[in-house]
Amino acid sequence: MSKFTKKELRALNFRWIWQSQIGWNYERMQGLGYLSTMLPVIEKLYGKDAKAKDYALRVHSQFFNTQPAMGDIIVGMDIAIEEAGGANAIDTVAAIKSSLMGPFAGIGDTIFGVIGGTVFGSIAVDLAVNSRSYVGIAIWTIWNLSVLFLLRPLMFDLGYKQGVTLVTTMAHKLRALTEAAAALGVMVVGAMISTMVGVKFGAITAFGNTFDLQVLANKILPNFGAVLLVGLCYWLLGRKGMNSNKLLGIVIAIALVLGWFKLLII
Amino acid sequence: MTLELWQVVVLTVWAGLAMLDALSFNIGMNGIIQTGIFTGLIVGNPELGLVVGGTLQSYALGIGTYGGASIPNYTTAAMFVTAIAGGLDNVESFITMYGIPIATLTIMFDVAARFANTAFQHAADRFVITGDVKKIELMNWLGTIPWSLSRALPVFFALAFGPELVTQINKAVPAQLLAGFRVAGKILPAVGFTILLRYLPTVKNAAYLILGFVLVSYMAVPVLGVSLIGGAAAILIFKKLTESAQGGDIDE
Repeated sequence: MSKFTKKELRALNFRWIWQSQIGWNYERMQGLGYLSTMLPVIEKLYGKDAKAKDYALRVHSQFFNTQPAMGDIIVGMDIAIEEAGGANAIDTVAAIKSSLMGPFAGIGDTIFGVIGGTVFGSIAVDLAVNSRSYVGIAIWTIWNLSVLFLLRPLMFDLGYKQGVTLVTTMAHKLRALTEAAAALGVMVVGAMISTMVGVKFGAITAFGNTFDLQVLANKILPNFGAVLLVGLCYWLLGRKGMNSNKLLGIVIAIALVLGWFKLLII
Repeated sequence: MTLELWQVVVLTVWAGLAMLDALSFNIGMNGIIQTGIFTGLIVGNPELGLVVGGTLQSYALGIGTYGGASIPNYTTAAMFVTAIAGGLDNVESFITMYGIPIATLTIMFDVAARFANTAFQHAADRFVITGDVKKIELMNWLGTIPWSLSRALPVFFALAFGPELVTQINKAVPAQLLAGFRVAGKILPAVGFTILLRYLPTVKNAAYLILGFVLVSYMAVPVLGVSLIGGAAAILIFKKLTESAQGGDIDE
């Protein structure tokens, strides 16, 4: 028997969307947001049982962190399980939370990060910089709104209706989706290397002759400089002790030195 | 280019609210391009903001806040550069000369907010013991204050004191160095793409990387077109993987 009305469930979904990260902190990360989201559930299910309420509050204070949209599924499952099992189900929920948050974060970051960040981001960047067009950012905004108003409620409902069985039925589909999204992401990056990385060589003068290095580069490969630079960065970033901020510094240094001597030009 | 007080106030408030959107609804207020456009509207040149935001976004395509790590704040950078550039003439060098330092320096505000919120966590822990549900929720809501200040404060200080500093620096910078910064602006997207390639299973998907490159470099297909071809490939991969998994079930 459902103890929560449709309206109450929507309100709980909204609580998670709004509250999951506003209290994010280094100690418990989304833990405080999760606890705060669950408060109406705890009050409704254990309000009259002081011991159960105390236990639920403590358990839901635990460390939690996942990709927020994937969190919708976990919160939905949690509510369904506690609604059916009551205070006896709290330990089950705690185990589900801590075992799902890691894998769900990985899947969510790839799917939402790749689709949102890479694909829609790349289209928006390309159109903004190369065509001075607002169309790309409009498409990205439509995606963001679709995630908020369509996808996230859907994921919450999926978690609530299917409970734990969802994990087994969805596991291979999620893995397939992640792999498919990764291929799409890598392909778009290949395109963006061509349009956005503007490595243009200058000319050198030796033995009284001037050699235009860019003309030479074009004979090898279009966007040869871009391929060379990304290859160099990829190799550097794989080295020990290297991180993205150091890489940023190195690339700026290369640009300043080679730009000063006009070996790289606009 | 100096700003009017109302412009500084509007941009500061926007920066604070946008951060809360990024944490929750994520409609994109805190996006780098969106922030550029909004700032452009406030200073009367939205196209400038579009280009500044787009360029800075290209440096950050591969950088998400995975697992709550603090990353360079290109959003604040987009706001600052759009507000001070004054026009599209010098914008390429401005993006790297001022955008990158702003993005990097403001990381510490993000760290500070995440740290400050541990105080509310500890307070909430005390209300968990007493069972005071309303106060627990209040502690979570109070987290909005450090979060929004972590973006509003750097924007306020940068916009209030930055323009004068920028004018002084511009007078002192030699032309060759300016050229170097313009080159940096053009080649820096390589860093963002590299981070992405390191995050994604690139070796496994090398064929798609080559395909994407060839479609644009040799055949001049627009990025939107490449995305659609990639989308088609993704559908085929998804179908193949899910069908083979079902087939496996039947075999068992």
